[in-house]
Amino acid sequence: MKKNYIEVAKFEYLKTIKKKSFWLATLFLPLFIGVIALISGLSSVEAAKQMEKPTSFSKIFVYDPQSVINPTFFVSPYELTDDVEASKNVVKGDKSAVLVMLSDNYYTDLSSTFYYRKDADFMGTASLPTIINAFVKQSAIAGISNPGVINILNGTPTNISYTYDEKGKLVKEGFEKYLLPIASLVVFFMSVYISSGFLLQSVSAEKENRMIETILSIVDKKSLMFGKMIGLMGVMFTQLSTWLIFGFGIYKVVMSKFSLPIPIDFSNIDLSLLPLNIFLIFMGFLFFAAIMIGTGAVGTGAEDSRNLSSIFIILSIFPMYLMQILLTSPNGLLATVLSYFPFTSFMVLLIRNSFGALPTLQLVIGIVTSMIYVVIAMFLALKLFELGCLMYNRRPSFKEMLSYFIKRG
Amino acid sequence: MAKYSIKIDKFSKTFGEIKAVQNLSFEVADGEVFAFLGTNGSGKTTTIRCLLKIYQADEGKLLINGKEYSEELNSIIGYLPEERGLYRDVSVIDILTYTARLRGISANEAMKRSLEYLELVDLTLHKDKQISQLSSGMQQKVQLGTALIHNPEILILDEPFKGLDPVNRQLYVDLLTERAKQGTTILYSTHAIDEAQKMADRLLIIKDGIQLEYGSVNEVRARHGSKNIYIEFVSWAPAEKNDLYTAIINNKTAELIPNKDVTEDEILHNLLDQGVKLVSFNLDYPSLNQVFIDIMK
Repeated sequence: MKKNYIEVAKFEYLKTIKKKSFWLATLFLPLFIGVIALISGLSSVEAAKQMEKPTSFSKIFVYDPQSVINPTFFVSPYELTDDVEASKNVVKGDKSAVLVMLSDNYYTDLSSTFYYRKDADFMGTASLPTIINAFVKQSAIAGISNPGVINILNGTPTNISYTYDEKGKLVKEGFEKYLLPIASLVVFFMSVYISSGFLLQSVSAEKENRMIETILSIVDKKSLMFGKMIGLMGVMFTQLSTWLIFGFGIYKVVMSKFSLPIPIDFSNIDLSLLPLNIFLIFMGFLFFAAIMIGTGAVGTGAEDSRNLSSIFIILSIFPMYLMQILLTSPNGLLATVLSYFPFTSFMVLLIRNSFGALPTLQLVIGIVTSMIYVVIAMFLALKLFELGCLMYNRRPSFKEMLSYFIKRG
Repeated sequence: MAKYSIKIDKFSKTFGEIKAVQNLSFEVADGEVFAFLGTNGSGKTTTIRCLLKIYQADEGKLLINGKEYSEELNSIIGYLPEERGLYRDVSVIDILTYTARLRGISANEAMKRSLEYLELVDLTLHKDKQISQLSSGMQQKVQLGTALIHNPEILILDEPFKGLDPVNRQLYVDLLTERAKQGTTILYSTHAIDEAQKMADRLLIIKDGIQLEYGSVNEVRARHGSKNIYIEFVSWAPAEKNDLYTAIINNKTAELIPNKDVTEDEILHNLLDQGVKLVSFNLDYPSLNQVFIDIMK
């Protein structure tokens, strides 16, 4: 007889991708992220522009006892003043007036003081120090005649790194260095949150709507469980491919229409790390998929299962909070310990491998422990599925689970 | 005639401290309609789930066609669980074809049979609707379809009449009666004792996991009746007492009390030999419903 898990996988795959909500989520999630990024970028640019033009102030008195600022900058609303007290009195009565006092020893202490009314424009008060500092800097540069020094002071340095690989080949380092780690983490997150989320939903909904017993009378539990995993892995690949195609298409369009300074030399990506990354992502998917199946089976319904699963999700994203430590010290004690803790091992190993910071021995131990964790998770998921899938309206107690594991283990 | 039968031998199952079923044995013959009766929690569903390996039995043998249940028997078994439901966001046709495909039917044949079934139960126009868009009665029809779509030789139905309105109840009875006429073996658990009396060839009554009654409907009823025979006649009265019975005669009616180990057939022949012209010959058997209530008390 034909293997039923293939039929289950096909059904689960088609059931999900036939849903409008799936395509809305798939197409609109990147669009949504893009729109948010665009809005955020535009608002940053706008804010920067606003900060350069504090037009909300009608009078900006500048007290400059050492003549630090070039007089050419003093055009309305900027006004050089010697009478600090009179300027302060104006500021007290006018919320659109400001007093900037450069220190009497400015060349030594680089200190300046600002006086506003409490209800003065927020953006203007935030941006004015930057503008005054720019006036000071430009005034100082104006006094320099060496164009090279002026260029150094005005320009942004460009740094290019080259690395030698194990065979002595010289490789230019660039943005490509970060592409694989970022892509690996994105795929990992997708597999953990989206695909295992689909699995959780599938198992808990099947239990909640009571279809599970009909299916279990035709398909054995293992076939049902693995069929679901395969089907929903297919969903993940469909989603990933869609995003990849869209992303690549958008990249090509953007690069052909606008000459943005983000040239990616794909030949510069170190693909030698890819096989292990794929392995770790796959193991991570299997591990969390098993967790979600077990959780879906013991929960009383979709809502209850979601609540139960949240603890595992939190554990899985825990390394994100420690990312800085992991990146600065990828072979430190914390990184090493987290590499062998079941819920964090997959992501931490992935990060460390992506940056080439995984010693061979730890790499081997990591691969072995990953496989062991997956086998244990699968076993527990299957037992929980057997125990809980037909237990309607209540969760099995811990004692029941333990007793079942011992009896059926 | 179907070739397969069900045999359960010394089956026991416990859940923790609770003995759900104890030492249960019965057989369902080929082409037989067999009713499995008992109150809630008596062990009917557990037995059926163990028979289909949804649960694992602790002891005993549960055989279908001489074998323990495995996926290869899927093509000959149709199962309707007590706790039933369907994917709410999947179309009617997709659910029927999916269950058919899981039973090894080719895609084209699965589609053909699904459409035929929908035609039979008058749901053709709703084939592309999601289950959540159907009425409860329509959903019940689709549910039964998942058990019948592959024309199984053995039907195992757990509380098939549960939650049905009278119209759908009759539809279920008609569909199952039709299947029984075609030789399908049917094992079903039920609380609907009236339907069991009409449909079942044999039955088993279980209480707290223990078998109480087992046999044909009339055998079980007879075991719980007084065995007295009531007759009406138009000729002369029968003998008041002979080797077979003692009679209490009242005008043109009589109550006959059989002697020990005498059957109703022997008494009937004796009356005819006496030349008694009978208008009616009734056995004092309680209804199955009454037997069930008496046992469960």
